[in-house]
Amino acid sequence: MSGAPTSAWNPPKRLPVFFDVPDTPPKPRIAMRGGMRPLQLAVAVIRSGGWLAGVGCLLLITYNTAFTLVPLALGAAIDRGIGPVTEGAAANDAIGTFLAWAAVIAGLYVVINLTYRFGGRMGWHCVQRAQYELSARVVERILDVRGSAGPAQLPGRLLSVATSDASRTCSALYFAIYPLGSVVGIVVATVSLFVIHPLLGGLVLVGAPLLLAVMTVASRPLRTRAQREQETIADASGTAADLIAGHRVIAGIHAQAAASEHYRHVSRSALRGSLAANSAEGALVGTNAMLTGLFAGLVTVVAALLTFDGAISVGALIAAAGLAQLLLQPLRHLVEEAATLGAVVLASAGRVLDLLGSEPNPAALGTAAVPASPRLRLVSPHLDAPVEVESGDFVVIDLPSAHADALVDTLVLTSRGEGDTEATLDDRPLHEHDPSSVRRTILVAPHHADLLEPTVLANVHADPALARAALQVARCESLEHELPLGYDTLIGDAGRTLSGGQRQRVALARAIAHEAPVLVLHDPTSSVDAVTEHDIAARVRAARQGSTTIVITSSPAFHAVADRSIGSAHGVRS
Amino acid sequence: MSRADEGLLPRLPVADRAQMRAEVGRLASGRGWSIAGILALLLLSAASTLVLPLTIGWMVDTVTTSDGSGVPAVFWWQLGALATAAVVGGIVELFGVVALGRLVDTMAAELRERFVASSLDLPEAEVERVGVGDVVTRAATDTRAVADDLPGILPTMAWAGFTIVLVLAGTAVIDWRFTIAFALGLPLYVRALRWYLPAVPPVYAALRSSDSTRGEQVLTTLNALPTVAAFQTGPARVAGVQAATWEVARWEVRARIMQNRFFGRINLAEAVGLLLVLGCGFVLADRFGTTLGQVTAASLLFLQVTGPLQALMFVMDDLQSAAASFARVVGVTSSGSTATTPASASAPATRAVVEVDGVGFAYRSGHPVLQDVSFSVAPGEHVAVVGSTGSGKTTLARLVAGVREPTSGSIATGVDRSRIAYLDQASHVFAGTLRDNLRFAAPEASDATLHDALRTARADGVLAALPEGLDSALGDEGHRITGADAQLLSLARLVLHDPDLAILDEATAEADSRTAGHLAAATAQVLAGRTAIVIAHRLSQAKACDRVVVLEQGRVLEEGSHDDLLAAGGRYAELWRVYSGT
Repeated sequence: MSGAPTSAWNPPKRLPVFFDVPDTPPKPRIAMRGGMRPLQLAVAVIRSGGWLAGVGCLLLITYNTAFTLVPLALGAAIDRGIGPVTEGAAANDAIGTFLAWAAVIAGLYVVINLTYRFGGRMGWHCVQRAQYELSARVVERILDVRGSAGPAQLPGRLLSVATSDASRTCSALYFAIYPLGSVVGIVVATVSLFVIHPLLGGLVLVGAPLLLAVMTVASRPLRTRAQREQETIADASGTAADLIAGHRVIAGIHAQAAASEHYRHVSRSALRGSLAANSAEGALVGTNAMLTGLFAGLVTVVAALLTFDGAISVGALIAAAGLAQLLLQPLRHLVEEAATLGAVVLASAGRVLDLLGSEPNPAALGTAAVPASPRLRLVSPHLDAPVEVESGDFVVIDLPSAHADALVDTLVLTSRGEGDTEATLDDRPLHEHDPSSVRRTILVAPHHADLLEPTVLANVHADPALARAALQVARCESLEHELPLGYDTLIGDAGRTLSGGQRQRVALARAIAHEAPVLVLHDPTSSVDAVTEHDIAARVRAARQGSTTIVITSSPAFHAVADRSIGSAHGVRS
Repeated sequence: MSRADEGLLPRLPVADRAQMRAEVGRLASGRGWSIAGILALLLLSAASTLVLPLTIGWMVDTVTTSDGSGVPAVFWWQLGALATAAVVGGIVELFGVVALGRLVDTMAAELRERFVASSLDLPEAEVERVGVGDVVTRAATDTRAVADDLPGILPTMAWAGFTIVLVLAGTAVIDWRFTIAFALGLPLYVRALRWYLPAVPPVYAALRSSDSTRGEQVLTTLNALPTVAAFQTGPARVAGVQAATWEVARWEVRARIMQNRFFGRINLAEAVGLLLVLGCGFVLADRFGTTLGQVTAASLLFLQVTGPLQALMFVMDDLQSAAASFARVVGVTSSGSTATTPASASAPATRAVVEVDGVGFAYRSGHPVLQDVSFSVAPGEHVAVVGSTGSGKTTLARLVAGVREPTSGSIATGVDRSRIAYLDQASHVFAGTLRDNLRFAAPEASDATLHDALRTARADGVLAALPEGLDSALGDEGHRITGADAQLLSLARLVLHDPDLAILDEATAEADSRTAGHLAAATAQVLAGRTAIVIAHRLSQAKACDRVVVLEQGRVLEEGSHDDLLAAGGRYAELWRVYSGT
């Protein structure tokens, strides 16, 4: 499953690794409800952090406090430890005080070291845990039996929601873990300044909220732009995925240059989005740097004026200047991250919620149980009379492709309810039945042969004997000799190393091996030559003896072996 | 290009350092002045950050030497210095960030575009081998990682580097002995980097690789939604994707643990450095009469430099992770250029359009798919290749199209390879308008030309059924069209491409009995006046061709016109009997 070599991980030999991730995934922790708004999802994600996030947050608060106290200790060490020496005191008398303050500084650094290391790690652990869960929920929703109403979405777009958007939504946890520490840092600094002189504390108390307000206003344009930028980037990666998926078609007509030109247009419009966001971000960062710099200068100047008046000591001036300088970092981070991250988190949370909350397809909401051996009736506007399929029948129906697609859509419960195509089980419309049990009873093998597993055998059935028998039915026995490792050969992503005909036959074998009570095949041999097709039709007929089978095809081979052949002008070949 | 990790899934190549350097050079070329200007802005910004600690030290001295009789005049200069530094620093940072962001974003977009171009140029065989998921993940994740990280890394590196150099110069101005105290702390930083830089790349590599595996799993599943639904493998697929996702989470946390340890080592270096500067200050004040303001300035300068130092250290780490993404992107952009056109095959022009001579092929040695196949195609001729399943028809078509190279024998083409079109049964409809879908074949084509091509391919019915004509959106999010209609669009693209040789590999496979006639007529109209090889499993297609080549187990069994072969009473006659039901 994992492509990652475990040898990359070399934890320390003598020390245990604290707060490492367990081998097995955690239980769900995010409390989801219907009709959630993006902000509520963000809050639910934050709450999923639990005690781990709480302790992590506490450690980071301690970290910020210790970090803020460093300049105070530094000011004291210089003023009380070195000051006397500059005024002519003997080094031996002053060294005691100096070393005491140096020890305080060393102690603060030890606290900083430990709290940041483990606080940050615990927070990150929570973020990863939440990301895992949210992404899993998105994938689960996409694969839900009830399908979804509305037009289908591009796979690249779904991928982007399941990965990037899920992960960005979980950045919400940063808000719970990091900013609180910054706020506490700012509070500690303010209190310290108050202790030094009420005027300095008052300055911060008035100035900091003012500064925050100005920065918040300056960040507003970025919020809207960040959202736009993200959407254009999602388009660019969706387009790249689509083009690369159509690689064969493009290469076949040497259209590589034209296709990359097409991509260039999409990429450039995404670039215009990022550049616009960039200018806004530059304005934000620049304004913040200027404002915080001016503010630090103001605090220092006031402190200096107070020192001239003799109201505070030189050590207090150093501490005040240092505090003002250090105050800037948490303040800037607080504002910059709140602005960019907040917009990004909410935009992504919105997309995740859109997908999670997408209405199920109305055709897949039935609840009725499927009867044991139902009588299936199919109605298509193209047919003169409804087709009654009794248990054990082998019915072959010829329909023009649009009508055939409509019938298949009805049978797999993805019909959008257009047209007059209907399917009933014992006179009750198919879509009133529970979709899972419908699919257990009626297997509609998709015409497009998507192979998901790595080998031929694994694609057909987990039981090798059953799989081999089914492969025989679908005339795949030549693959045993054509492929280097026979049925156990790795056949590449989605079976790409096989030819279209080979893929189609393996997919047919898979449908046979499933031994569904009712099997519906849609043009199962369209990529197979006429001779092989005749063999396959006869073998499928024999293999399905006693079970119900419906084949929607124009192939004379199948019509020739049918119990009932419907809609085909017999003997006339294209 | 060598793969060290055998046993794992095959992957596309990852670029080496020389290839990465070349790519950076290519991206930066012609942008020298912008880069120099940005560096100058960042230098100015770094200089402005030094003003604060130096001015505070200056103030401390002014205060300690003042006699308490009010504010001395020099104080107003100090005030002015602080204000100017803040304003200039802010403005310079604004322009620096914007300019650098524009530059790096543009470069990242160029890289992303070249990546897609190179991915499309990858040989078919290579894409099959590594899987589309790997390429898509690189397009989506790695190009984005490069675009997100580099704009942060480059200015930080430049700015931090400048700040460190300026701070060292600044301390030397105060007292050169402080510079020595600073320098004594450096070995601890070096030690931290020497532990970190070799230890972390494998963890990042594992992280990226697990991310790629996961992307592939999700995308494969999403592309096969109908199959997943039909076989009710949803829960199993979800379990697989979740296991892969958890693997990503584990490596994310491990990467963070590595960073945490790194932080601990840097933190130690900072503590030792600050205590060294203070101790030095104590001794200097005692022995050399250094003022309190000088000690203050030196300590604050050290605190000021810890930020950039830490930033620089951590950028090293971002730089490595961005470099890992960059290497994966450049691995494709630089392999694309070498691998686009396979060698050989352009032997001396023969009078025939294609001359296949004694060709043999095996995907794996010892399992021949084709053996000693010879035939030729004259200008304007239509040749059908017929055979039962596993006879090697498709392989032969792909060899002639140049997708793969024969293992023995030769294929000489009388036309340029770019003039050979190969249409196989996979008819992908691209997400985009009908016009976009057609223009891949002829980017400059006018709407009139597109309409003509649609008419020739008998696809005017497809056009008429779409509400917005050529502007109608197609693909999974747009209008859904049938497989047969998609084949007609493929034929229209073929008309627009106007090849000298068309190879149709079961291009009419999607047809049912009602559309088969229409598709056959469309194919005939599209191929009229062209040379063509038609890989046919409907023998009606073979009958319509000038000549039929019958393949059986990788060998040519019979060759001749439809009527001749029927008269000969061999394998083809037998096939025809089965097919026509007579």
